[in-house]
This record gives sequence, structure tokens and C-alpha cells, in this order.
Amino acid sequence: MLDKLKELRMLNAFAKRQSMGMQRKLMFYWVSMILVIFMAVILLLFIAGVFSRDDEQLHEVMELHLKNGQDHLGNHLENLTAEGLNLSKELSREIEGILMREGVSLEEVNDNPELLLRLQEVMYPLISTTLQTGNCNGAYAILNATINTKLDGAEHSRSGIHLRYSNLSTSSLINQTVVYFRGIPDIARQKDLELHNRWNLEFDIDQIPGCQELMNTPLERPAECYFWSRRINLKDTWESAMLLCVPIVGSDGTVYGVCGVEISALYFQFSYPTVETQFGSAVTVLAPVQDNRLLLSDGLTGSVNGTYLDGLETLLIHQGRYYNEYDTGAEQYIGLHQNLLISKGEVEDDIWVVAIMIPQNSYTAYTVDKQKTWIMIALMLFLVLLSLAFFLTRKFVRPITDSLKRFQQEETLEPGVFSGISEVDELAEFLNARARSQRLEQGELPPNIAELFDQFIERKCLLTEAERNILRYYIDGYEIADIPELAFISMSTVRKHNRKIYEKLGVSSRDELMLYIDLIRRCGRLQELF
Amino acid sequence: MVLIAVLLLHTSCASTVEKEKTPITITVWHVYGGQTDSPLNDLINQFNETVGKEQGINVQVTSVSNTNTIHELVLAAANEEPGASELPDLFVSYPKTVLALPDDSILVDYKEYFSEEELSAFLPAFVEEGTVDGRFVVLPVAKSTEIMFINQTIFDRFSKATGITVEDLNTWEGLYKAAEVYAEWTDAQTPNIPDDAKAMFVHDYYFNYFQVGAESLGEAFFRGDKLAFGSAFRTAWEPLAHAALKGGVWLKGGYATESIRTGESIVSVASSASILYYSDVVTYPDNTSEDITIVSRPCPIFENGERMVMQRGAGFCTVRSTPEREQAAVTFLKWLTEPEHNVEFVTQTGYMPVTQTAFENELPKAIESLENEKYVSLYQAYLDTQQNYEFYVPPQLESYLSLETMLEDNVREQLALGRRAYLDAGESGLERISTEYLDTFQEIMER
Repeated sequence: MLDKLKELRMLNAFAKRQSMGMQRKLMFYWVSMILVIFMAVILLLFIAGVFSRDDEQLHEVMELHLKNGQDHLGNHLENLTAEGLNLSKELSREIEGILMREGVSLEEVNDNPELLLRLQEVMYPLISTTLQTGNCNGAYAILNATINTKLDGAEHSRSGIHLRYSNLSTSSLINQTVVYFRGIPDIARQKDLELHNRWNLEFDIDQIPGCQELMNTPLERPAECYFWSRRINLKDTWESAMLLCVPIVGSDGTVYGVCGVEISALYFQFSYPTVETQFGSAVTVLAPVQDNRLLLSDGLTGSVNGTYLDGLETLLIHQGRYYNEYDTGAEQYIGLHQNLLISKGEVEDDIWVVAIMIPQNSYTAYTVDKQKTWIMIALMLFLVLLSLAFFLTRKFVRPITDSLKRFQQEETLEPGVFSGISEVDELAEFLNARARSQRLEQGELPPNIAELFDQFIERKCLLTEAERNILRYYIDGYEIADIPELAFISMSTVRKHNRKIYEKLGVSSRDELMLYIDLIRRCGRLQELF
Repeated sequence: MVLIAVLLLHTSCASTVEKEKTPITITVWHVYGGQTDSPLNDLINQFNETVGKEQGINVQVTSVSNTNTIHELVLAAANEEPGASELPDLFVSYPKTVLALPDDSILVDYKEYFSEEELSAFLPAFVEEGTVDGRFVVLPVAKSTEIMFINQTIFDRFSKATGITVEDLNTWEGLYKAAEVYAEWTDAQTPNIPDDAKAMFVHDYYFNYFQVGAESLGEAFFRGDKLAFGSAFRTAWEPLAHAALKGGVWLKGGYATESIRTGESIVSVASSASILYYSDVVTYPDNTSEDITIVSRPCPIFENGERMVMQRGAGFCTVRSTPEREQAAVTFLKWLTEPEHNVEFVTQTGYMPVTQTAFENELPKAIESLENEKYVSLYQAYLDTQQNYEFYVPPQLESYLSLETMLEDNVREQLALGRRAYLDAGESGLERISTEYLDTFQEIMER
């Protein structure tokens, strides 16, 4: 460990000795600062609970849906129970009326097809009305009597009428076709109803758990004891349903039979569609709980769009802080549930719950998606900050490096060019002044004088060959009077050439010309005139 | 940076996996099984547990009814009528439903999803039947025909007493004569109750009876968008009316299976697919029941007519949605029409398969392995029909459904009124009443 620290220290010292570019160094400081601020912000967000809010949000959303589901379903079942109780009262009155008129007891209705038909004829309109007014897909009434006591299985065969909607494809019950599932077919013919493909004359009450007991227990009022059966398969059909079982109680406490309504799995599915939440599809479930297990096969499941539920699973419940987990063994769901009282004086002590469930996969996908968004945002922000740091560093360093480059390339800096940084401009001025004084010290011509010489030398190019010849004689020290003889020309031609030479070289007299020539010679640049 | 990149890569991978796990739920309205335990539903479960699970598709049956109900529901939904159901992803219908749609572009053209090779696996006539306005919108999955079902248990008793044989039922004339004899025989069994003759025969679709009847007698059934009412129609009407007036034909509503179930009739002509709804038990009014044997025979023909029978069987339409949903729906349909699954499906529901391979390779094996006598008899009759009959495919007429509904409603009603008139008038009024009610019926149909 100590060795490592030593190594690091040495590395640091080495790095300090290394010369590093101004831009890189500044960039390094910027990035360090950005990282520190970035970490601090993430830490603050983390402490503020921004990243762990999903569970709380999920809890709130599910609680709301559960509350809605519970209200909706609670009201639905309560209204249907009220319809069932009302049907029971009306049936009781009608049945009692016929029995009194005929002077027979219910027992004597057995093996009496005519009387059973009469009873069913008065029962039919009441059942039909209940079916049409209730939010249900079937209504029925069973009499505690059978048409033929001598048959095998007569003890659980009971006469009655069961009407159902067929071909349901929506929860709307307007214009639905009623089929005759159980009952004497004469009534179906009278009412022009289709017999169900699996019609039977009588009910097999063994198919409805608790029905027999309800018929055999004397009561004062139907409201004392009624229940919703667990989901039963409707024999030989592809459908299953929960039946409300209300006793039909006579004025003397005799139970004439059982009546109620039906909610099929299909109808429930249409009535309780999945709710699309940001966390996934929420499914509504009404089911009994037994040994910490939610028994979907005994209850009803709403629409299961977007999940793999088939409404037959047994789900193990794990209670959690924000939500419960429901495990089918193959699939996991998360959700909440709440007890719902749907029966009274029931034989079995079932606890029924209404539950809202979301596939755990959807929720995980949602949180992962959200995390991905956060990371993307953070990454983008980080990149933006880096670009900004790069831009600012460049903007700050550029004038300095440019100035430095100019220092390296030019001997003196052009006056009047500013870098925008006062310290750099001052440095430039300082360096310029110093360069000027150095040059003077080294015997260099002041620049404006040098410029006059330069211009003079440049203008010699304007001279013609003859003029240049004459200039050369002057440079060699000849007088004007010597020229005609040397150049084999007349004096007047010499004067003419002289005028042109003065004009072109920008001098006004021979003396001025000779001064220039003398000065240029002294500067050692005389050869430039040739 | 590396850490962030790794994290990002990990989360995006995880997210793709999770998304794949959220299944696409495909809703279906079909007709295979009615209110009974539907074999297609079992096949759908099989699909959901295998291919569906692998590919994230969950097929949900949301209605099992009949094509007429689906027709009404689809039209209500397509016209956006108040209270209409939302259209499912898949529904079963005849081309007549597609013809009645205000805009058939709401349906998927299967040519977009099936390759040329896949399409050539289907029997060409079935693809042609499912093509409406050049678009292949009704995918055949099963085809049926009309078959005669006989409650052999009771018919044997009747035969023994009267000498009428099953062969007498080979022609319509013979069948209606037998129905008249049956009515007399049953009426005579309860001498103290007059006019309680029982019907021997029940037909599910009189529209098909008259249509195939007229065509088999060499006469067009339709004239434009109305019925032709030629002499062949009269030939088909007379024996039916005579038997009906004498009480030998079931004239109340409902499907043929209903009166067979209660023993109120014993011979029916219905779709081969109605085999599912025939119970092996008859329940009498006193709740006693009797086990019966249902046997199938080819559909009767007219003495002077050709051997012709209606080809039936709707197909699946896929409703336009998103490419993913459409693809999922088509994946299911392709699975269902694979020879192995197709034959498994059709032999449980009384249909015939739709692909050449299924016909040639899978069907014979499946028929051999059938155990239920009722189904063995059905497929025997089916093969018999296939060998000896010409299949008749109804034309694609816009007025087809309304004509069908009108005829079905009125033919039974007029014959039932005729039956009452006959009971009042007696034997001498038979011809007159038959003609009178045909005229009334024709008048109603031509309105």
C-alpha cells in the first residue's frame, strides 16, 4: 500500500515536471470541476429520492385503480344482490299464490308436469325482467321440485328456468339474444326463444355448491343468507360463471327454491377491461383467498390484454411495502388487493378480494426504460458541458497562443492589433518597445529612413536603359559636363535625361540625388541600385 | 465514460428483452362450437402455450356465436353505430359480410402476408371464394357441406312399423313422402288427442334448399338481385308444402338440433358442422331421456335433378390495426392452417380441411383414427358426397343476406299458417292451400 502511494506520488511529481499545454491544462480543470458538480447533483437527486420514486408512484396509481375497481365492483355486486333479493320476493309471492290456489304444498308439485309448467310460466316474466334490468348475463330460478322423482339422480335434479344471453361480444346488453339454457321447452316456444345448444330440462344442483344446503335451511327472510358461488363450469359449454344464490322464502319460512343472477367469465371480461397505466396493463380480479393464495379459477378475471393470465391460475401472495407480489410459479404479477364482502350467512368462510394486478415484467421494463432515459439525459448533459468547456477553453486560450505565434514569426508586432486580453496586449507592447530599442542599439536605421531608401531603390526600375546609364556615371563620380563625351550624346539630351531621372526617382536637384547615392553607399546597399 | 456506456448498453438490452415479453393480445370472434365446448378454443390454448408463448402472442376468444350474429356485429361496428362492440382482430365471416361493409379496406389483404408459395397450398377454389374485389380478405380455414342427420334409434322403430326405409330418404320427394307417413303414424299413436302429428323432418336452411334445388333442376335461382320463382321453385315447394301441411315438417324457429334434442323431429338437413350440437341423448317432457344413435347420409336430391349440394364454410377476416398486431393475427392463422393443426381442428368440428396436403396426407389418417361413431358416419357421408356430388358455391350478391333472412322468416311462417288452414279444411284442401300459400309467399318475396 505504502509502495503504491509512493509510486503515485512519484507519478504526480513527474507530471508536475512535465510541461503541459495551456489548453489541455485549462480543459483538465474544467472537466474536474464539471465532474465534481455532476456527482454532487446526482448525489443530491439520489438523496431527494428521485430515483426511488417509481415504487411510490406505482403504489399510488395502483391504490387509485384498486379504489375505483372496488367501488365499481362493489356497487355492481350489491346492485345485483338487490335485484336477486327482489326477484326472490316476487317469485315467492307468485309461487305461493299458485300453491294456495291449487291447495297443494311444494312437495306435491313433484311429478306434476302441468303444475310445474304453470309455475314456470309465472316465473318466466320475473326472471326475464331481472335479466334485462340487471347488469348480468343470465338469470335463473330453481324450484325445490322435480318433474320425475323416479329417475336416477332425481335427488339433485330440480326444475327451474335459466335464461342467458348468447353471443355476447361487449358489456353492453342492448339487443342481446336470450337463449333458453334450462327449463320446460314449451315456454321457449311460446316466447320464441332459441334453446341453448346444451339445453337441459332441469338443473343439476350438485353443480352449484351450497345450493342444496340453502334449499334445506328454513329462513325468515332471504336477506339472512345469500351467497355468490365460486366460479363453476357450465356443463358441456365453453363458459364458466359465478351465480348469485338467493333463497326463495315463503311466508311460513319454507324455502321454495333458489334464484339469482349469473355473471359469466366472459361478461366479467368485457365489463372490466384492462386499464393501461404507464407501468403496464392492470387487470381487475375478483377471487377468493385461501391459505395466502389467490384462487383465480374460483373467481372472475377481467380482460387480460397484455398479460399471459388465463384466469385459471393459483397465485401465491407475498406482501410488500409498496405492493404485493403474486406468483403463479411461471409468471409474476405485482398489485394490491382488498377484501370485499359479497355474501351473507355463507356456509363456507371464504374471504373474497378485489385485486389489481400488473405483470412484473412490464413494471421492470418501465423502470429500466426510465433509468435509460435518466442515463441518456445525464450523458447528454455531460457531453454538452464538455463541449462548452472545450469551447470556452479554446476561446480563452486562442488569443494568447495566436499572440505567441506572432511573437515567434514576426520580429515586431504590428501596432494597433489587440488580442482582447489586456495582459497580453501589454506584454506585446512591452516586447515591441524592447525590440525597437535593441535594433537602434545595433545601428540599424530607423524604419522610416529605411523606408525612404527602399522606395528610392524600388523607383530605379522606372528608369530607361539610357537613364540608368547616366545615373551610373553620377554614381561613379562624373559631373554633368563629362556625360556628353562619355555617352556620345549632346548636352541638351543629357539635361533631358536628367529631368526624367529626377522625376522618376522623386528628387528635385542633383545635390539631393547625390545625397541619396552617398547615404545608400554608406548603408552598403549601393549594389541594389545596379 | 466507459462505465456509463456499459450501463447504457446493459439497460437497453434488458429493456428489449422485457418488451418482447409483453404479449400482443389478439381477440377472436368465431363460430366453431357455438355455446358448446369449442374444439377451436382448445386449439387456441395449445397455440398460446407453444408458438404464442415463444412469439409473445396471446389469442383470446371473446365471442363464439354464428355468422349471422357476427355479420350484424361487424356491420354495426364498421358503421360506428352507438353501442356497437369494438371490432376484434379476427372474426369469422362469409364474403357476404365483406360485401356489405361500407369500406372493406378495414380488412387485411392476405396477399400482403402470405407468400405465393403459401397461397398455392390452399385449394384454389377456396382462395377464389375468399377474394372480394381482387383482395383476398376471407381466409378459408374449414369447409363444410350439407348433410342429412338421422336419429336412427327412432327411425328404426318408424321403419319397422311403416316399411319406410332410409333409402327412401335419398330423394326429396321420398323424404317428404316419408314425413307425411311419419305424421300419420305419430298422430295415430295417441288416438285420444287429435292433430298431434309429429314432424319427421327439419331443415336448417330453406334458402339453401330452394337455391340448390332450383340450380340442380337446371334453373337459375336468382334473377338480378331478386329470386326467379321459375317452375323448378314450384317443384321444390310442392312436396315440402304437402308434408308440412300434414304436420311432417318442423316449422318452429331455432336450429335443427333443438327439435332433434327433444325428440320432436328425427331427420334433419344441416351443415356438417352442426355435428357438434347433436346430442346423443333425447330428453322427453317428463325428463326421461333416451340414448340415441345419430347417423349421417349425403343430402337428398330431386328425382329429376343433378347431384348437387351446397358448399359452406366461412373464413377468417383480419381487421387492419398495427403491423405488429396484423402479423400476430396472421401468425395464428398460418399455424391453424398448417395441415396437422388444420386436420385436428376440422375433424373435431365436422369440417373439411382447406389445403391440398391436409386433404391428401393428413385427412385419411385422421378419419381412420376416429373413434366416435357419429363422426365416422359423418365422414363416410362426407366422402360419399365428395365422390358423387357437384359442389355449389352461392354467388356474391349484395342482396344475398337480406333475401336469405326474408325467405327463412317467411317460408316457415307461411307453411305454419298453411298447416292451420289445412287442419280446418281437411285433406281436400291440400293442393289449394299449398298453391295459395306459395302465391302469398312469392308476393311477399317480390315486394
